Amino acid sequence: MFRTVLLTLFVLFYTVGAYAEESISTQVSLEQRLFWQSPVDPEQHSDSTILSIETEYAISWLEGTHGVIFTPFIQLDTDSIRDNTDVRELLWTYRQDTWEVRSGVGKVFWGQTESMHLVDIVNQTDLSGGVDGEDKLGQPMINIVFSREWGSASFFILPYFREREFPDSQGRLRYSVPVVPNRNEYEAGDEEHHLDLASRWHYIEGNAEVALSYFDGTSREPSFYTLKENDELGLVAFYPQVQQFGLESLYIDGSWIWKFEGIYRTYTNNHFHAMVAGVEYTQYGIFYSGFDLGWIVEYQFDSRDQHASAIGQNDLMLGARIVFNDLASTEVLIGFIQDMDDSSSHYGFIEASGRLSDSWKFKMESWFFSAKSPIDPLRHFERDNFLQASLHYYF
Amino acid sequence: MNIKFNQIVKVLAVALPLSSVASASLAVTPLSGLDVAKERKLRDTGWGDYQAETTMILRNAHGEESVRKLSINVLEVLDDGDKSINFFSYPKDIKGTALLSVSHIHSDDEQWLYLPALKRTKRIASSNKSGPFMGSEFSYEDLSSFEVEKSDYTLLRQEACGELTCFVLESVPKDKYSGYKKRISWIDTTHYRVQKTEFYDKRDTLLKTLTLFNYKQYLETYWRPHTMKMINHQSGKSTDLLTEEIRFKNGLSDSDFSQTQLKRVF
Repeated sequence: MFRTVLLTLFVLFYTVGAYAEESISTQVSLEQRLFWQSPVDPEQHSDSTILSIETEYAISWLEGTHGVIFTPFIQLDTDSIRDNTDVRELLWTYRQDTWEVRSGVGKVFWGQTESMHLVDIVNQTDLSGGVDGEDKLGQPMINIVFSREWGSASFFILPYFREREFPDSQGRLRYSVPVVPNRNEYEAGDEEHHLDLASRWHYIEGNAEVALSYFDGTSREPSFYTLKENDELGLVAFYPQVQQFGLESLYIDGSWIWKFEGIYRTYTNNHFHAMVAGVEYTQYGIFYSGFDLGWIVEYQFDSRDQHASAIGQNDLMLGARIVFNDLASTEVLIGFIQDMDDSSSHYGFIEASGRLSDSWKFKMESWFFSAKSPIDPLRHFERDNFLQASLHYYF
Repeated sequence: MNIKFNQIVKVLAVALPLSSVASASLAVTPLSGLDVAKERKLRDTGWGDYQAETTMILRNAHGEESVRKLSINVLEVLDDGDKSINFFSYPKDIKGTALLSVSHIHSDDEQWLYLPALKRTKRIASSNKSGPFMGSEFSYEDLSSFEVEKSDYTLLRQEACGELTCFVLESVPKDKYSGYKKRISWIDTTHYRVQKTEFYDKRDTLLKTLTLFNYKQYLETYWRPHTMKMINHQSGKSTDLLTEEIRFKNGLSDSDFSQTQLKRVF
């Protein structure tokens, strides 16, 4: 598969390369995490320094009807815990007025809400990049998009599955029983080679947007079972076959944006539904200062886990976003998520970023987790509150 | 014969206010603010589409500067607001970020911001028009297309503006999301080009002054300023918007202003 894609690209480059337009840009990042509490398990390292490099090479020809984007990513950890190499994108696009084909390794985002991305299922989450789940691994795909007056319809053939990589026994922000590396189990006989299918229809009418999506294939999110090996407990990730129906909607009323995401997912002999619904209210140029201040309130519901303290089961998120509109493009995002059934169960974060010069940028984030109930999933991270600072160089 | 005469009267009724501009002595009906606004729009109708390479220089109250570069694509929409798509290329951390705007005369504008790191297209609230565009002193509404129906007009006076003569036109925005109580614009009587605009905030205090220079004519008809300077009197900040290159009639169509186009990196 991969070789075929590369060969096709190679041929395309050399047949039409003469009229091509190119661009290349690179981001180098240095990141340090600080955990101020000792870990649950003395084997866990307090996190180390991480260096990552992401380069994006883009080329287009025949007046932009053909394009290729290639984005390799490398992450190196001084303790080798969060090492990662990934092809974020290696995608060929052929574009016409009302349709386009994209083939190769790509990234796709589905969704509208802020506190959780329920519907977004095409790409695997890259946990080595961050705890918010917004970093994604590249996904092999063939994608066709039709854009007409009835909206845009997107169809995906996903020939290869990429597993979720969990921190190993030495990593922080892991389950109290670590996930056994390279011991995945699949419901599908052809394992990661199972052919997954997905489609999405998105329609915009003035101040309203709606999207319906369907996914049939290997769940990006595993379930776990416990394994005892050489007197050590470990979790084995099991990836079932699922069918997921997704609904996204959005409605704008002036400064208010109402957002909804809902999913219904079926497995063999099982099913559940979940949703996130909320509103974002933004005040622009508040108090004549030039600041934009946005407020986010979202409610999360999940029928899956009847344990009162499951994450997103019956939770309320409160958030604020401050955009300073200054030369440095300083932004701050604060979020707090409270379980509505258990007052001791909550977590929160603060993220800030800004430019130090035209080429340098800083980012900071801090997360805290609190849970008293022994069956609360947040309990695993209760001693993993952390502060993270990073420097980014762009050229 | 009678019918023909009526037609001539009608034609004259339309043409007269305009000719009165050229020679005030012929003025029969006094020129209204709305007439000036309509003529300004009429003289800038029919260009179709354009693509421009622009640089913004942002300056804070201490005189520190920061540069933004963007490519602008605009599609003229007759009888409604224009469509535009802006691709940011500098500083490099915002490379690939893109903004799609579909403006309307009688309903709320639609806007989407594409964030390349997340591959996410985010809808922006329509009330953001009073907010700063990319941290500059230009707000979104300052950069949106001029549409006659969006304001009420009063022609205050005519006066000299440099070597030209200008109409001094007051416009009061109808849109409740506008950040302004009023604008006062100096529009030259020769080509109906805006030379200067003063923006008054909701408290009717002078907030910003925009001056426009280096006008060049394209397609032998349309005038575009290559330098725009916005000064914020309340914060002491300013922004220069420089147009380096502008190309008309690129054959752009609706499909070049869709969500899929936001994601293009080339």
